[in-house]
Amino acid sequence: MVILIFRSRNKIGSLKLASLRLKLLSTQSKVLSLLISMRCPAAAEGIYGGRLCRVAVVGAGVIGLSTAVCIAESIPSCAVTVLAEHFTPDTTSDVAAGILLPHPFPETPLHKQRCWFKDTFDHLLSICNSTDAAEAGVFLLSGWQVFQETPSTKDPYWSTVVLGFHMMTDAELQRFPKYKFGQSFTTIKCECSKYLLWLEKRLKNAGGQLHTEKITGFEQLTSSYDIIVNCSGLGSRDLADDQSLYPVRGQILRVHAPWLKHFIRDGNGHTYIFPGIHSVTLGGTRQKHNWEMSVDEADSSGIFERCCELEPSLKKSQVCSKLVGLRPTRNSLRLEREFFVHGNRQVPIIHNYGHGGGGISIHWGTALEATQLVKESINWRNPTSKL
Amino acid sequence: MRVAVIGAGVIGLSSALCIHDRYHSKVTPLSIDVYTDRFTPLTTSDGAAGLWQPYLHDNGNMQETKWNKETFDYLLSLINSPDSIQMGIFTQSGYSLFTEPMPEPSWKDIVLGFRHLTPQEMKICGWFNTTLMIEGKSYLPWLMDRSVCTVSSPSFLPSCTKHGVDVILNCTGVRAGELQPDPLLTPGQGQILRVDAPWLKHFITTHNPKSGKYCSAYIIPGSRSVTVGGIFQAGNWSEANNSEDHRQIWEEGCRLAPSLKNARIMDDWTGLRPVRSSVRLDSETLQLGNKQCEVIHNYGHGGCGLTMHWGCALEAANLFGKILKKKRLTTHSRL
Repeated sequence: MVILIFRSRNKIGSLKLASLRLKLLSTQSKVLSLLISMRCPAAAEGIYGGRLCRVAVVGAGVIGLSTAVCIAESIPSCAVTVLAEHFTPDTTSDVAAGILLPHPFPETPLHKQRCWFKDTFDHLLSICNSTDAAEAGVFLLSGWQVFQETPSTKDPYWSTVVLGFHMMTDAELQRFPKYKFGQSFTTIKCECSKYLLWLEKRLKNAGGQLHTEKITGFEQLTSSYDIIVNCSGLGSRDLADDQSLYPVRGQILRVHAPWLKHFIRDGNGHTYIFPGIHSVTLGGTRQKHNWEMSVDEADSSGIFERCCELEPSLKKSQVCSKLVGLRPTRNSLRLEREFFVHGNRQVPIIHNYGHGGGGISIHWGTALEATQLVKESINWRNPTSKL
Repeated sequence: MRVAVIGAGVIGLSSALCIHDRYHSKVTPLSIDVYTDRFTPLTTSDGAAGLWQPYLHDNGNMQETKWNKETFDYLLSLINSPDSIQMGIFTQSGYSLFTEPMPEPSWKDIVLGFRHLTPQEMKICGWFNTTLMIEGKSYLPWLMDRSVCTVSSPSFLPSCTKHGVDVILNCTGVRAGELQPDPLLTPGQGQILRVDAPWLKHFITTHNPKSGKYCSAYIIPGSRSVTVGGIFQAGNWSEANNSEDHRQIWEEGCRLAPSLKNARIMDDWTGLRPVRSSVRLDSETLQLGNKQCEVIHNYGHGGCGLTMHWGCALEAANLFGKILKKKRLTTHSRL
């Protein structure tokens, strides 16, 4: 419960405020959000002594940058700084193919997963149809997901979010002789090598900043920031002391095959072909608890062989690069607030990590939710500060 | 048996190959020579985007529908073969958009995964399907490698007839009228832009029944560049690029796909579609000098040459077979 006192001052202008005592947290936060959104100086003054609320976002992958952009663009009273050891092209997101296809979270309710996916899909679809698409690295991609055995769920929850979802016809399946069942649909590819740069630009346009700095403990930030948003992915194992988080190692090949215009994915998730702007991503591996970042040649040959079986024309393709990424995996995504105590300060931390292999697929949805948690935290007052 | 093929576009080269493959063991010797003043990459077939898509209405021309299907099935059978990329064959999906609902096309069961667009996808009517691309710039060199033929200028032709050419295959496309007047043949001039936009992975064709075929914007990604077009001017013989057409193509293309706005335009190209009310694919006996010559005509494919070439090549080979029968030339006889 937080008590808020409003004092009317001559400077305020059209707003006439009397002293109020508000006891309900949700009412307070709604009123405050409204006042802040009206750029009411009284509110900001009241909480942060006349300055903006300083938000630190830890992590500069797709989760960190999209959350930072969301906060900077929708909460004008925040000054957002992204702090990270790695920026594009050295993040986990840069290795990901970036296809919008959800990754299952066994312990997160399905309606939430669908909501995050839909918010992300709709957000990226409007970029696809805009003049920003090429710079942002976002475009429509159609293709097929094929199964050797008919899956138990023929119509997954995301089938109504992607475009034109239908079961493959017999004629379409003929090209995949080892496969009995398939789904055909149009989804979106979001190439992080471009998307992250575009998000960085958007963040700077909204007044945000980026600093290269490795954060090893939240205490490094409590004196300089009012709210911390933790988007450190696998780094949260140490940073947030979360042992339930573990890597799932993914190796990919990037090949030159400009005639490939469709994605093809084996429903078991182990083999996939995702055409990008300048190269095609071939994958992959799913090695749980494997921290090895160097390329494994046996994995490379396995990936290439399996992909050539699915798409024989790949035999003519040239391999341009081989990369490894560690998917920051957790049974459920951690998207919640906790309070971090350091000395006499209590700072709200919004955690937004554990997206596994589905970061790009749900990034905007989780960024929106994290931003909402930030908005609710803005009125939270540090006990040592005065109004 | 000496065969002279005139024209080295997709029609000439594929007909030559088809006849050679079917008859070289039945008629020996069988020499097939291709005569042309333009060969790849300067033919009409090279400039075409290479999308397999017949006209929306077949106008009851069942024969052309059959040739379209034979071509699609032939190309599809090669899609997983080792040669597919060298031949320039690959799959691509995309959209056909209309201003008002249209009856389903004759080729809806030939292509893969044909369906109507969902309301989420487009606010106007349209179809989505997976089809094949056959890029002339790859296909023609592949055909030339396989044709046991020599390519030379058509000015050699008159001397050839003096020296005993038995069959002429007239695959001269838009200029067929120069060999034999044909009032039904007219150029369908079209300019295209080639654009560097590798993020585009779908074809988009638009159709306006009021403006006619190809008069409406289209965007067709290829393996090297994206073709943007939408010009069709019947009777225009000019092969020069035109800045007004360029502007129109670019504006309409950007309206269709806003992401194109920041794409780099590589170049323009203008070609003459060999338009005819129906394809001329028949044979006749002509008196050339003091010799009788069998002529198989195979021209007038309009904007659908690549789409129907193989079906036409098969038919040309059938006509050749009939000529052989007429002359009683089979495995048992030799020239």
